[in-house]
Amino acid sequence: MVQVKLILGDQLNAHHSWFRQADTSVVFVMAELHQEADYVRHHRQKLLAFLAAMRQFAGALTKAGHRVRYFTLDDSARFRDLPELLRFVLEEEKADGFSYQQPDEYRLDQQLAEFCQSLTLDTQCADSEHFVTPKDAWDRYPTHRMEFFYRALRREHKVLLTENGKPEGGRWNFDGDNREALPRAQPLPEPLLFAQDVTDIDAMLDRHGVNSMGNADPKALLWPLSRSQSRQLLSRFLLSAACRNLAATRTP
Amino acid sequence: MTPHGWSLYHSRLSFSLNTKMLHPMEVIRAVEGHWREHPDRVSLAQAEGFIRQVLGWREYVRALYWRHMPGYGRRNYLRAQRSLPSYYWTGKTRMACMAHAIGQSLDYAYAHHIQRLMVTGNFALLAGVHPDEVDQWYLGIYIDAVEWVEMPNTRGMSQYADGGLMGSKPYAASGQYIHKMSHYCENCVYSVREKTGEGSCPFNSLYWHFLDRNRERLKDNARLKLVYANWDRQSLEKRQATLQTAARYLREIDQL
Repeated sequence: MVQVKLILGDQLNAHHSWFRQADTSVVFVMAELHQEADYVRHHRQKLLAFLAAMRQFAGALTKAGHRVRYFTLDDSARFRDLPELLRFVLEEEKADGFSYQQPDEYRLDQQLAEFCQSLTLDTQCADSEHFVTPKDAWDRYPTHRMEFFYRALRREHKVLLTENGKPEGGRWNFDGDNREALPRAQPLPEPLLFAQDVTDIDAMLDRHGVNSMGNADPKALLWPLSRSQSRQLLSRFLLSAACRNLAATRTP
Repeated sequence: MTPHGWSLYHSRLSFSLNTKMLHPMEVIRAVEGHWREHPDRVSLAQAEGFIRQVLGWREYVRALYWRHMPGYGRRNYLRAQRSLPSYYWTGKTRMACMAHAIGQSLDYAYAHHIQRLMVTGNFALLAGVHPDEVDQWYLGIYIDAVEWVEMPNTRGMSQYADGGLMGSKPYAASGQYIHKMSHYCENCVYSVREKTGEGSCPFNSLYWHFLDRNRERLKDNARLKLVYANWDRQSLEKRQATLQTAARYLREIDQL
Protein backbone atom coordinates (compact mmCIF):
# COMPACT_ATOMS: atom_id res chain seq x y z
CA MET A 1 0.00 0.00 0.00
CA VAL A 2 1.86 3.06 -1.26
CA GLN A 3 0.77 6.52 -0.20
CA VAL A 4 1.91 9.58 -2.15
CA LYS A 5 1.85 12.79 -0.10
CA LEU A 6 2.35 16.23 -1.58
CA ILE A 7 4.20 19.01 0.26
CA LEU A 8 3.80 22.50 -1.20
CA GLY A 9 6.51 25.18 -1.08
CA ASP A 10 4.89 27.05 1.80
CA GLN A 11 4.28 23.89 3.84
CA LEU A 12 7.73 23.42 5.38
CA ASN A 13 6.33 22.39 8.74
CA ALA A 14 8.74 19.87 10.25
CA HIS A 15 6.38 19.30 13.18
CA HIS A 16 3.53 18.08 11.01
CA SER A 17 2.15 14.71 12.13
CA TRP A 18 3.03 13.29 8.69
CA PHE A 19 6.67 13.27 9.72
CA ARG A 20 6.37 11.73 13.19
CA GLN A 21 7.92 8.48 12.01
CA ALA A 22 9.54 7.30 8.83
CA ASP A 23 7.40 4.91 6.81
CA THR A 24 8.77 3.34 3.64
CA SER A 25 5.30 2.97 2.16
CA VAL A 26 4.95 6.76 2.07
CA VAL A 27 6.46 8.79 -0.75
CA PHE A 28 6.62 12.54 -0.22
CA VAL A 29 6.55 14.68 -3.35
CA MET A 30 7.98 18.17 -3.55
CA ALA A 31 8.21 20.07 -6.80
CA GLU A 32 9.57 23.34 -8.09
CA LEU A 33 6.96 24.37 -10.62
CA HIS A 34 6.77 26.73 -13.53
CA GLN A 35 3.13 27.37 -12.68
CA GLU A 36 4.19 28.72 -9.26
CA ALA A 37 7.26 30.63 -10.46
CA ASP A 38 5.35 32.35 -13.26
CA TYR A 39 1.81 33.07 -12.07
CA VAL A 40 2.97 36.44 -10.81
CA ARG A 41 6.25 38.32 -11.33
CA HIS A 42 8.14 37.43 -8.14
CA HIS A 43 11.06 39.17 -6.52
CA ARG A 44 14.27 37.30 -7.36
CA GLN A 45 15.04 36.82 -3.65
CA LYS A 46 11.59 35.36 -3.07
CA LEU A 47 12.10 32.74 -5.79
CA LEU A 48 15.57 31.91 -4.48
CA ALA A 49 14.50 31.73 -0.85
CA PHE A 50 11.41 29.57 -1.44
CA LEU A 51 13.27 27.10 -3.67
CA ALA A 52 16.32 26.95 -1.39
CA ALA A 53 14.14 26.41 1.69
CA MET A 54 12.21 23.66 -0.13
CA ARG A 55 15.48 21.90 -1.00
CA GLN A 56 16.71 22.12 2.59
CA PHE A 57 13.42 20.73 3.84
CA ALA A 58 13.54 17.82 1.39
CA GLY A 59 17.13 17.14 2.47
CA ALA A 60 16.16 17.13 6.14
CA LEU A 61 13.28 14.71 5.50
CA THR A 62 15.53 12.35 3.58
CA LYS A 63 18.10 12.48 6.36
CA ALA A 64 15.39 11.58 8.86
CA GLY A 65 14.65 8.41 6.87
CA HIS A 66 11.65 9.55 4.81
CA ARG A 67 11.27 8.77 1.12
CA VAL A 68 11.18 12.01 -0.86
CA ARG A 69 10.83 12.56 -4.58
CA TYR A 70 12.03 16.06 -5.31
CA PHE A 71 11.56 17.71 -8.70
CA THR A 72 13.74 20.69 -9.56
CA LEU A 73 12.58 23.08 -12.28
CA ASP A 74 14.75 21.03 -14.64
CA ASP A 75 12.91 17.85 -13.63
CA SER A 76 9.44 19.35 -13.71
CA ALA A 77 9.78 21.26 -16.98
CA ARG A 78 8.33 18.41 -19.01
CA PHE A 79 5.05 18.50 -17.08
CA ARG A 80 2.41 21.01 -18.04
CA ASP A 81 1.31 21.66 -14.48
CA LEU A 82 1.11 20.16 -11.00
CA PRO A 83 -1.68 17.62 -11.74
CA GLU A 84 0.26 16.21 -14.68
CA LEU A 85 3.37 15.80 -12.52
CA LEU A 86 1.37 14.16 -9.76
CA ARG A 87 -0.31 11.76 -12.16
CA PHE A 88 3.13 10.69 -13.35
CA VAL A 89 4.35 10.04 -9.78
CA LEU A 90 1.19 8.17 -8.79
CA GLU A 91 1.61 5.85 -11.76
CA GLU A 92 5.30 5.31 -11.28
CA GLU A 93 4.88 4.52 -7.60
CA LYS A 94 1.78 2.42 -8.24
CA ALA A 95 0.18 4.43 -5.50
CA ASP A 96 -2.94 3.35 -3.64
CA GLY A 97 -3.60 6.73 -2.14
CA PHE A 98 -2.87 10.41 -2.53
CA SER A 99 -2.82 13.06 0.22
CA TYR A 100 -2.05 16.75 0.31
CA GLN A 101 -2.14 19.39 2.99
CA GLN A 102 -4.79 22.08 2.90
CA PRO A 103 -3.31 24.70 0.52
CA ASP A 104 -3.33 28.32 1.61
CA GLU A 105 -4.23 29.66 -1.78
CA TYR A 106 -7.61 29.45 -3.44
CA ARG A 107 -6.13 28.74 -6.87
CA LEU A 108 -4.17 25.70 -5.63
CA ASP A 109 -7.04 24.56 -3.43
CA GLN A 110 -9.28 24.41 -6.50
CA GLN A 111 -6.63 22.78 -8.67
CA LEU A 112 -5.95 20.00 -6.16
CA ALA A 113 -9.61 19.42 -5.35
CA GLU A 114 -10.36 19.00 -9.06
CA PHE A 115 -7.35 16.75 -9.45
CA CYS A 116 -8.56 14.50 -6.64
CA GLN A 117 -12.00 14.23 -8.22
CA SER A 118 -10.34 12.95 -11.38
CA LEU A 119 -8.60 10.11 -9.50
CA THR A 120 -10.03 6.69 -8.76
CA LEU A 121 -7.72 5.99 -5.79
CA ASP A 122 -8.24 7.16 -2.21
CA THR A 123 -7.53 10.85 -1.66
CA GLN A 124 -7.27 12.92 1.45
CA CYS A 125 -6.79 16.59 2.25
CA ALA A 126 -5.00 16.92 5.60
CA ASP A 127 -4.80 19.93 7.85
CA SER A 128 -1.55 21.89 7.48
CA GLU A 129 -1.34 21.93 11.30
CA HIS A 130 -0.01 25.45 11.22
CA PHE A 131 -2.73 27.93 12.03
CA VAL A 132 -4.25 28.52 15.43
CA THR A 133 -7.78 28.62 14.01
CA PRO A 134 -9.53 26.31 11.52
CA LYS A 135 -10.08 27.24 7.89
CA ASP A 136 -13.72 28.15 8.57
CA ALA A 137 -12.83 30.35 11.56
CA TRP A 138 -14.83 33.23 10.06
CA ASP A 139 -18.07 31.47 10.93
CA ARG A 140 -16.90 30.22 14.34
CA TYR A 141 -15.58 33.38 15.96
CA PRO A 142 -16.80 36.94 16.32
CA THR A 143 -15.53 38.63 13.16
CA HIS A 144 -17.38 41.92 12.76
CA ARG A 145 -14.24 43.48 14.23
CA MET A 146 -10.77 41.97 14.48
CA GLU A 147 -10.56 43.09 18.11
CA PHE A 148 -13.24 40.63 19.27
CA PHE A 149 -11.83 37.79 17.18
CA TYR A 150 -8.46 38.44 18.82
CA ARG A 151 -9.87 38.58 22.36
CA ALA A 152 -11.64 35.27 21.87
CA LEU A 153 -8.33 33.70 20.84
CA ARG A 154 -6.47 35.29 23.77
CA ARG A 155 -9.03 33.69 26.10
CA GLU A 156 -9.12 30.35 24.33
CA HIS A 157 -5.34 29.94 24.31
CA LYS A 158 -4.66 31.77 27.57
CA VAL A 159 -2.32 34.30 25.99
CA LEU A 160 -1.29 37.32 28.08
CA LEU A 161 -3.90 36.51 30.68
CA THR A 162 -3.65 36.74 34.46
CA GLU A 163 -4.40 33.72 36.63
CA ASN A 164 -7.99 34.95 36.90
CA GLY A 165 -8.39 35.00 33.14
CA LYS A 166 -8.21 38.80 32.86
CA PRO A 167 -6.02 40.53 30.26
CA GLU A 168 -2.57 41.37 31.58
CA GLY A 169 -2.26 45.06 32.41
CA GLY A 170 -6.01 45.41 32.82
CA ARG A 171 -6.83 45.98 29.15
CA TRP A 172 -6.79 44.07 25.88
CA ASN A 173 -5.39 46.72 23.63
CA PHE A 174 -2.24 48.83 23.97
CA ASP A 175 -2.30 50.12 20.41
CA GLY A 176 -2.19 53.72 21.48
CA ASP A 177 1.14 53.15 23.24
CA ASN A 178 2.73 51.74 20.11
CA ARG A 179 1.95 54.61 17.78
CA GLU A 180 4.75 57.02 18.43
CA ALA A 181 7.14 58.06 15.66
CA LEU A 182 10.63 56.66 15.81
CA PRO A 183 13.00 58.82 17.86
CA ARG A 184 16.00 59.75 15.73
CA ALA A 185 18.72 59.06 18.30
CA GLN A 186 17.72 55.44 18.88
CA PRO A 187 20.66 53.07 18.42
CA LEU A 188 19.96 50.66 15.57
CA PRO A 189 20.02 46.98 16.45
CA GLU A 190 22.21 44.79 14.25
CA PRO A 191 20.02 42.62 12.07
CA LEU A 192 20.80 38.92 11.83
CA LEU A 193 21.48 38.28 8.17
CA PHE A 194 22.41 34.94 6.74
CA ALA A 195 24.69 34.63 3.72
CA GLN A 196 23.86 31.52 1.77
CA ASP A 197 25.15 30.47 -1.59
CA VAL A 198 22.26 29.75 -3.94
CA THR A 199 24.08 30.34 -7.22
CA ASP A 200 22.97 26.93 -8.53
CA ILE A 201 19.32 27.89 -8.12
CA ASP A 202 19.97 31.30 -9.63
CA ALA A 203 21.55 29.68 -12.69
CA MET A 204 18.58 27.34 -12.97
CA LEU A 205 16.15 30.29 -12.94
CA ASP A 206 18.18 31.90 -15.74
CA ARG A 207 18.22 28.67 -17.68
CA HIS A 208 14.43 28.52 -17.57
CA GLY A 209 13.96 32.20 -18.31
CA VAL A 210 11.90 32.79 -15.18
CA ASN A 211 10.82 36.42 -15.12
CA SER A 212 11.51 38.21 -11.84
CA MET A 213 11.97 41.65 -10.33
CA GLY A 214 14.27 43.22 -7.78
CA ASN A 215 17.89 42.63 -6.87
CA ALA A 216 19.57 39.62 -5.33
CA ASP A 217 23.03 38.43 -4.44
CA PRO A 218 22.83 34.68 -5.04
CA LYS A 219 26.21 34.23 -3.34
CA ALA A 220 24.85 35.63 -0.10
CA LEU A 221 21.10 35.22 0.27
CA LEU A 222 20.16 36.69 3.63
CA TRP A 223 16.89 34.87 4.36
CA PRO A 224 16.52 31.96 6.81
CA LEU A 225 16.19 28.74 4.84
CA SER A 226 15.61 26.18 7.56
CA ARG A 227 13.81 25.74 10.82
CA SER A 228 17.03 26.05 12.81
CA GLN A 229 17.89 29.34 11.10
CA SER A 230 14.36 30.52 11.73
CA ARG A 231 14.81 29.68 15.41
CA GLN A 232 18.03 31.69 15.47
CA LEU A 233 16.19 34.63 13.96
CA LEU A 234 13.51 34.35 16.63
CA SER A 235 16.09 34.27 19.43
CA ARG A 236 17.91 37.26 18.04
CA PHE A 237 14.64 39.08 17.66
CA LEU A 238 13.81 38.59 21.32
CA LEU A 239 17.26 39.62 22.52
CA SER A 240 17.75 42.58 20.24
CA ALA A 241 16.58 46.07 20.79
CA ALA A 242 14.16 45.37 17.96
CA CYS A 243 11.74 44.49 20.74
CA ARG A 244 11.40 48.24 21.04
CA ASN A 245 8.73 48.09 18.42
CA LEU A 246 7.66 44.51 17.95
CA ALA A 247 4.39 45.59 16.48
CA ALA A 248 5.84 46.72 13.17
CA THR A 249 5.93 43.21 11.74
CA ARG A 250 2.56 43.14 10.08
CA THR A 251 2.34 42.03 6.50
CA PRO A 252 0.16 43.88 4.05
CA MET B 1 9.98 54.98 9.68
CA THR B 2 13.37 56.24 8.67
CA PRO B 3 15.62 56.13 5.62
CA HIS B 4 18.26 54.19 7.58
CA GLY B 5 18.59 50.53 8.49
CA TRP B 6 16.05 48.49 6.57
CA SER B 7 15.41 45.79 9.14
CA LEU B 8 15.67 47.76 12.32
CA TYR B 9 12.20 47.74 13.76
CA HIS B 10 10.73 44.56 12.57
CA SER B 11 11.71 40.99 12.91
CA ARG B 12 11.62 39.54 9.42
CA LEU B 13 10.04 36.52 11.01
CA SER B 14 7.18 36.62 8.55
CA PHE B 15 9.01 34.61 5.87
CA SER B 16 9.67 31.83 8.40
CA LEU B 17 6.07 31.98 9.56
CA ASN B 18 4.51 32.02 6.12
CA THR B 19 6.59 29.07 4.90
CA LYS B 20 5.53 27.36 8.16
CA MET B 21 9.11 26.84 9.32
CA LEU B 22 7.93 28.49 12.54
CA HIS B 23 4.57 27.90 14.19
CA PRO B 24 2.63 31.03 15.22
CA MET B 25 2.02 29.69 18.73
CA GLU B 26 5.70 29.05 19.26
CA VAL B 27 6.47 32.65 18.34
CA ILE B 28 3.63 33.98 20.50
CA ARG B 29 4.73 31.94 23.53
CA ALA B 30 8.35 33.04 23.04
CA VAL B 31 7.35 36.71 23.05
CA GLU B 32 4.98 36.30 25.99
CA GLY B 33 7.63 34.37 27.94
CA HIS B 34 10.24 36.99 27.14
CA TRP B 35 7.99 39.72 28.51
CA ARG B 36 7.25 37.73 31.68
CA GLU B 37 10.95 37.10 32.30
CA HIS B 38 12.25 40.50 31.25
CA PRO B 39 9.56 43.13 31.77
CA ASP B 40 12.37 45.65 31.98
CA ARG B 41 13.50 44.92 28.41
CA VAL B 42 10.18 44.62 26.65
CA SER B 43 7.02 46.38 27.75
CA LEU B 44 3.60 44.78 27.91
CA ALA B 45 2.43 47.22 25.24
CA GLN B 46 5.14 45.99 22.85
CA ALA B 47 4.53 42.32 23.55
CA GLU B 48 0.77 42.78 23.20
CA GLY B 49 1.20 44.76 19.96
CA PHE B 50 3.25 41.96 18.41
CA ILE B 51 0.96 39.18 19.61
CA ARG B 52 -2.01 41.14 18.22
CA GLN B 53 -0.38 40.94 14.78
CA VAL B 54 0.30 37.20 14.90
CA LEU B 55 -2.65 35.86 16.90
CA GLY B 56 -5.10 38.55 15.87
CA TRP B 57 -4.52 39.98 12.40
CA ARG B 58 -2.73 37.00 10.86
CA GLU B 59 -5.44 34.50 11.79
CA TYR B 60 -8.17 37.02 11.03
CA VAL B 61 -7.05 37.72 7.45
CA ARG B 62 -6.76 34.01 6.76
CA ALA B 63 -10.30 33.46 8.04
CA LEU B 64 -11.52 36.37 5.94
CA TYR B 65 -9.71 35.10 2.85
CA TRP B 66 -11.31 31.66 2.96
CA ARG B 67 -14.75 33.01 3.78
CA HIS B 68 -14.77 35.52 0.93
CA MET B 69 -12.81 33.91 -1.89
CA PRO B 70 -13.03 33.82 -4.85
CA GLY B 71 -15.20 36.95 -5.01
CA TYR B 72 -12.84 38.91 -2.78
CA GLY B 73 -10.18 38.90 -5.49
CA ARG B 74 -12.52 40.76 -7.86
CA ARG B 75 -13.65 43.52 -5.53
CA ASN B 76 -13.02 47.11 -6.59
CA TYR B 77 -15.32 49.19 -4.40
CA LEU B 78 -13.81 52.52 -5.45
CA ARG B 79 -13.78 51.58 -9.18
CA ALA B 80 -10.08 52.38 -9.43
CA GLN B 81 -8.78 51.94 -13.00
CA ARG B 82 -5.29 53.44 -13.30
CA SER B 83 -2.13 51.46 -14.07
CA LEU B 84 0.62 51.20 -11.51
CA PRO B 85 3.29 53.84 -12.31
CA SER B 86 6.51 52.42 -13.75
CA TYR B 87 8.63 53.47 -10.76
CA TYR B 88 7.09 50.68 -8.70
CA TRP B 89 9.54 48.45 -10.60
CA THR B 90 12.53 50.78 -10.55
CA GLY B 91 12.26 53.09 -7.57
CA LYS B 92 13.04 55.96 -9.95
CA THR B 93 10.85 58.77 -8.69
CA ARG B 94 11.61 62.14 -7.13
CA MET B 95 9.26 61.48 -4.22
CA ALA B 96 11.79 60.63 -1.49
CA CYS B 97 9.50 58.39 0.56
CA MET B 98 8.43 56.40 -2.51
CA ALA B 99 11.96 56.13 -3.90
CA HIS B 100 13.15 54.80 -0.56
CA ALA B 101 10.28 52.42 0.16
CA ILE B 102 10.37 50.98 -3.37
CA GLY B 103 14.16 50.95 -3.64
CA GLN B 104 14.45 49.08 -0.37
CA SER B 105 11.76 46.63 -1.43
CA LEU B 106 13.66 45.93 -4.67
CA ASP B 107 16.92 45.47 -2.78
CA TYR B 108 15.60 43.35 0.09
CA ALA B 109 12.18 41.95 -0.89
CA TYR B 110 11.04 43.48 2.36
CA ALA B 111 9.48 46.64 3.69
CA HIS B 112 7.85 47.07 7.02
CA HIS B 113 4.18 47.48 7.62
CA ILE B 114 4.26 51.27 7.70
CA GLN B 115 6.15 51.62 4.42
CA ARG B 116 3.78 49.21 2.70
CA LEU B 117 0.67 50.85 4.05
CA MET B 118 1.53 54.53 4.46
CA VAL B 119 3.81 55.07 1.47
CA THR B 120 3.42 52.68 -1.49
CA GLY B 121 -0.09 51.49 -0.66
CA ASN B 122 -1.31 54.96 0.21
CA PHE B 123 0.02 56.39 -3.05
CA ALA B 124 -1.69 53.70 -5.13
CA LEU B 125 -4.94 54.34 -3.25
CA LEU B 126 -4.77 58.12 -3.68
CA ALA B 127 -3.88 57.79 -7.38
CA GLY B 128 -6.71 55.31 -7.97
CA VAL B 129 -4.68 52.36 -9.22
CA HIS B 130 -6.66 49.24 -10.11
CA PRO B 131 -6.52 46.83 -7.14
CA ASP B 132 -5.57 43.93 -9.46
CA GLU B 133 -2.34 45.73 -10.32
CA VAL B 134 -1.62 46.63 -6.71
CA ASP B 135 -2.33 43.05 -5.64
CA GLN B 136 0.04 41.59 -8.22
CA TRP B 137 2.81 43.95 -7.19
CA TYR B 138 2.56 43.18 -3.47
CA LEU B 139 2.21 39.46 -4.12
CA GLY B 140 5.36 39.46 -6.21
CA ILE B 141 7.73 41.80 -4.48
CA TYR B 142 7.62 40.75 -0.84
CA ILE B 143 9.41 37.69 0.48
CA ASP B 144 6.55 36.89 2.86
CA ALA B 145 3.73 37.45 0.37
CA VAL B 146 1.44 34.45 0.04
CA GLU B 147 -2.00 35.23 -1.32
CA TRP B 148 -4.06 34.46 1.80
CA VAL B 149 -2.19 37.13 3.77
CA GLU B 150 -1.28 39.48 0.94
CA MET B 151 -4.72 39.91 -0.59
CA PRO B 152 -6.80 40.99 2.44
CA ASN B 153 -4.01 43.32 3.52
CA THR B 154 -3.55 44.85 0.07
CA ARG B 155 -7.01 44.84 -1.49
CA GLY B 156 -8.77 45.32 1.83
CA MET B 157 -6.70 47.16 4.40
CA SER B 158 -4.59 49.19 2.00
CA GLN B 159 -6.81 49.79 -1.06
CA TYR B 160 -10.30 49.68 0.51
CA ALA B 161 -11.42 47.67 -2.53
CA ASP B 162 -13.53 45.48 -0.23
CA GLY B 163 -15.60 48.47 0.84
CA GLY B 164 -14.63 48.23 4.49
CA LEU B 165 -14.53 44.55 5.38
CA MET B 166 -10.92 44.78 6.61
CA GLY B 167 -10.64 48.37 7.74
CA SER B 168 -13.26 50.81 8.92
CA LYS B 169 -11.97 53.56 6.62
CA PRO B 170 -9.54 53.93 3.72
CA TYR B 171 -5.91 54.13 4.78
CA ALA B 172 -5.49 57.45 2.99
CA ALA B 173 -3.04 60.04 4.28
CA SER B 174 -1.55 63.29 3.05
CA GLY B 175 2.14 64.16 2.96
CA GLN B 176 1.71 65.89 6.32
CA TYR B 177 1.08 62.54 7.95
CA ILE B 178 4.10 60.91 6.28
CA HIS B 179 6.17 63.87 7.49
CA LYS B 180 4.91 63.43 11.03
CA MET B 181 5.75 59.73 11.09
CA SER B 182 9.08 59.72 9.22
CA HIS B 183 12.23 61.60 8.27
CA TYR B 184 11.80 61.36 4.51
CA CYS B 185 10.40 64.77 3.74
CA GLU B 186 13.35 66.93 4.74
CA ASN B 187 15.42 65.64 1.80
CA CYS B 188 12.64 65.54 -0.77
CA VAL B 189 12.50 67.83 -3.81
CA TYR B 190 8.78 68.19 -3.21
CA SER B 191 7.71 70.45 -0.41
CA VAL B 192 5.48 68.78 2.13
CA ARG B 193 4.38 72.18 3.41
CA GLU B 194 2.87 73.12 0.04
CA LYS B 195 -0.54 71.79 -0.92
CA THR B 196 -0.82 73.30 -4.37
CA GLY B 197 1.32 74.33 -7.30
CA GLU B 198 4.55 73.09 -8.76
CA GLY B 199 6.86 71.44 -6.26
CA SER B 200 4.13 70.72 -3.74
CA CYS B 201 4.10 67.24 -2.25
CA PRO B 202 1.90 65.10 -4.56
CA PHE B 203 0.44 63.25 -1.57
CA ASN B 204 -1.11 66.52 -0.33
CA SER B 205 -3.25 67.35 -3.33
CA LEU B 206 -3.89 63.72 -4.29
CA TYR B 207 -5.28 63.13 -0.81
CA TRP B 208 -8.03 65.70 -1.33
CA HIS B 209 -8.57 64.62 -4.92
CA PHE B 210 -9.13 61.07 -3.65
CA LEU B 211 -11.66 62.20 -1.06
CA ASP B 212 -13.40 64.54 -3.48
CA ARG B 213 -13.78 62.04 -6.34
CA ASN B 214 -14.92 59.22 -4.01
CA ARG B 215 -17.31 61.37 -2.04
CA GLU B 216 -20.44 59.43 -2.93
CA ARG B 217 -18.92 56.15 -1.74
CA LEU B 218 -17.27 57.52 1.39
CA LYS B 219 -19.37 60.39 2.66
CA ASP B 220 -21.47 58.28 5.01
CA ASN B 221 -18.44 56.84 6.78
CA ALA B 222 -18.62 58.21 10.31
CA ARG B 223 -14.84 58.35 10.56
CA LEU B 224 -14.63 60.65 7.55
CA LYS B 225 -17.31 63.17 8.50
CA LEU B 226 -14.80 65.53 10.06
CA VAL B 227 -12.43 65.21 7.10
CA TYR B 228 -15.16 66.17 4.63
CA ALA B 229 -16.23 69.03 6.90
CA ASN B 230 -12.63 70.32 6.79
CA TRP B 231 -12.59 70.12 3.01
CA ASP B 232 -15.90 71.93 2.68
CA ARG B 233 -14.72 74.72 4.97
CA GLN B 234 -11.93 75.64 2.55
CA SER B 235 -12.68 78.35 0.03
CA LEU B 236 -13.84 77.30 -3.41
CA GLU B 237 -10.73 78.87 -4.87
CA LYS B 238 -8.45 76.86 -2.63
CA ARG B 239 -10.28 73.64 -3.30
CA GLN B 240 -10.07 74.21 -7.05
CA ALA B 241 -6.36 74.93 -6.85
CA THR B 242 -5.82 71.69 -4.91
CA LEU B 243 -7.83 69.63 -7.38
CA GLN B 244 -6.06 71.24 -10.35
CA THR B 245 -2.67 70.43 -8.87
CA ALA B 246 -3.76 66.86 -8.29
CA ALA B 247 -5.19 66.55 -11.80
CA ARG B 248 -1.88 67.71 -13.26
CA TYR B 249 0.06 65.24 -11.13
CA LEU B 250 -2.26 62.44 -12.22
CA ARG B 251 -1.73 63.34 -15.88
CA GLU B 252 2.03 63.19 -15.38
CA ILE B 253 1.97 60.39 -12.89
CA ASP B 254 4.80 58.40 -14.49
CA GLN B 255 7.09 61.44 -14.28
CA LEU B 256 6.64 62.28 -10.58
